[in-house]
Amino acid sequence: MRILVIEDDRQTAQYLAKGLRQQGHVVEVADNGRDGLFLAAGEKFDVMVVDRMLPGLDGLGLVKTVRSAGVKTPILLLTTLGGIDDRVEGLEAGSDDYLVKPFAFAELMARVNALARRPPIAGADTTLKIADLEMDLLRRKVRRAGADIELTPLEFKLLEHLMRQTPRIVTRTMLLEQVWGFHFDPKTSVVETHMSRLRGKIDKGFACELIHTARGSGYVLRVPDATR
Amino acid sequence: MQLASSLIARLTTLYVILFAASVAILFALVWFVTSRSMTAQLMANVQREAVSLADEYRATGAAAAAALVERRLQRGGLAYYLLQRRDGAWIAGNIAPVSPVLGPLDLQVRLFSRGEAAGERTQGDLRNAIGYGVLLGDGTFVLAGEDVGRLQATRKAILTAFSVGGGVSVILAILGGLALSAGFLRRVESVNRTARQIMAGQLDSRVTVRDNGDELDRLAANLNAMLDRIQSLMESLKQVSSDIAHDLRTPLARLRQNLETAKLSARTVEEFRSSTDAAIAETDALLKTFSALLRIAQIESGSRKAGFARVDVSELFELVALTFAAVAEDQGHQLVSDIQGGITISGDRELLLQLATNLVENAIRHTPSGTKIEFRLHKEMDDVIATVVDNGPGIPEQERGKVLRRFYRLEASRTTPGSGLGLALVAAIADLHGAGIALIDHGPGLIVEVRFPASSRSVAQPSKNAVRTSARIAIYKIV
Repeated sequence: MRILVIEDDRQTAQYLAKGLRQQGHVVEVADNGRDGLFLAAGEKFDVMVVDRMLPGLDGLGLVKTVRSAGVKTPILLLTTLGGIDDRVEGLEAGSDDYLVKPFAFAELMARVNALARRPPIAGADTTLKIADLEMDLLRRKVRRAGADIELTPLEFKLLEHLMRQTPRIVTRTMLLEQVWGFHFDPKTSVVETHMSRLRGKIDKGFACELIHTARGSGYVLRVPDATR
Repeated sequence: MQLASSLIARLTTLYVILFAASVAILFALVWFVTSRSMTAQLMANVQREAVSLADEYRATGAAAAAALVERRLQRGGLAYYLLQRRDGAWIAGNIAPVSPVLGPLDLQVRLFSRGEAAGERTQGDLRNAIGYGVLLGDGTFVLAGEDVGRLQATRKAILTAFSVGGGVSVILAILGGLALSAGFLRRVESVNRTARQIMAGQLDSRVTVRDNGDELDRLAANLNAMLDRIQSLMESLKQVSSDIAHDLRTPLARLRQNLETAKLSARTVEEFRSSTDAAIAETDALLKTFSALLRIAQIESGSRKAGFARVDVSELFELVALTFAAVAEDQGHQLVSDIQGGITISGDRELLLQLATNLVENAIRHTPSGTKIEFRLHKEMDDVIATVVDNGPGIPEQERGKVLRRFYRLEASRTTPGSGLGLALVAAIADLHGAGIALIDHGPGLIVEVRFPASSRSVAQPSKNAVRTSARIAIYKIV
């Protein structure tokens, strides 16, 4: 992937560029808003990672300008402001996701991947299928190897999310945000609890496990052999 | 004090000018009205006398008229009379002949008498008078006049009275102005003195209140109330700062220890990794504490109120119940929920979700395994009430007010992980929504009740709701 990083803090920019390059991506770095805007508007990228506070042109302003110029590249906004309103502001400006500093690199990577390959809004999909796991979205039914599996509404939602993201990793925070709508950190193991119950129902008794724990506190649903 | 003195001078001058002006206006009025009415009266008298004299002359002739003039001059008449012939020769009266003028006139007269020995002679100076002249058919001229000296004397008396009165008024105005403005400024100065004392660090200094309920008194009372509020805010800020400093020392010390271990005693990559992992975990915990603090501060700033909307709390609480039933079960607790459907309130969805989550998590984390937790939402009258009930160890009564404070942790939970900010966050969120929190003994166990009053569900009015404990959220409001 070709990724544009717009970040004025040199240390953070280097950390991001190095990490992303190690994952095999091509990274361009701009250390101020003006250069960033020039690159964002002039070249083609798969994902942009934009710091919210930038010299020259503020991150929010940059996102707005880029969007009004018709650039549809997914944007991940980085910020030190963890405030509740800041997230909404960032999304309203036109960014696609929002990550509060400091963050684990695995978290950033998972989000960048999710953004880059976000499928075009799949309106017609009424069933999801991975290996022998089938999900009927209309009748809210899940079957594996032909056998019905009873899921609670939460487990259903969780599984649907994993299936839509396959084979990408989704982190604990992403699940909390997207499945539960929790934009805060619960103090109990909410995700782990429900994930272990879901695994018990989906994978228990089958030779091939579909849900895997990924390094860096995330989960991924995929057929083991189909990995890269 | 220079400013104060100049203010005294200004106020006093203003006072004197106002006094003097009102005296002057009063004087002018009295002067004008008195002169006019006296002049009119005099004129009416002289006209009546002149006409009656003329009538007498016509009716009975010159001699009788002259006799009448003499009688009048001797008793009860006007000051001046004159009866003269066509050729200007004097017939009777006490003034020298004049050239005849008809009707009312101002004139200057000289006393005149015809003694038998002395012959004709005029006496004394010219005098100002007003008179009324009548010319009869045979050319005889009749004049009756009155001295204006009386009018002038009256005017003079008025002038004197007003000069003396005005002078006294001005002196009184100066004294009064000085006294009043000095009194006013003394009270302003007392406010200033208090302000200086507070600036000098004497924070408990207050403005003197006289209890007479005037505007200055109300100002003083309001200033004092404001100072009380600021002082309590500052004290709670001080409390929180020292709490933060105190509570962050422990994790920072552990972080340092982990890093030191990694540096000094890790021999294998595995050992190194485990030390740095522990350090990262400590850092994450610290960051969480900070973000919780920031979140509380942000909630308390009230800015979220702008985004209030109708929130289906029933649906939201169902989600929380469903989510934590499994978590509770895994930890050996039992979570049962009783959620009335279709309840909406005006609020912030995300924050209400966090409120419910924190309450339930608190019950799960601070009670021993085997505890039964009930999670309820219902409507009572028009109030919406969220309750979390457990049959765990509860909270001692004297501690109940404190658990809503930042960093406050019960002795028993010192060892469990957590920042001591969960209930403070709940309190902040409840306050933002105008809800009251009550911590009630469940013998054994604890009931936490959050009551969203009907009246404040659209317009949140924090700190107005009666709560059953002394735990007033507002006390802990800072930032």
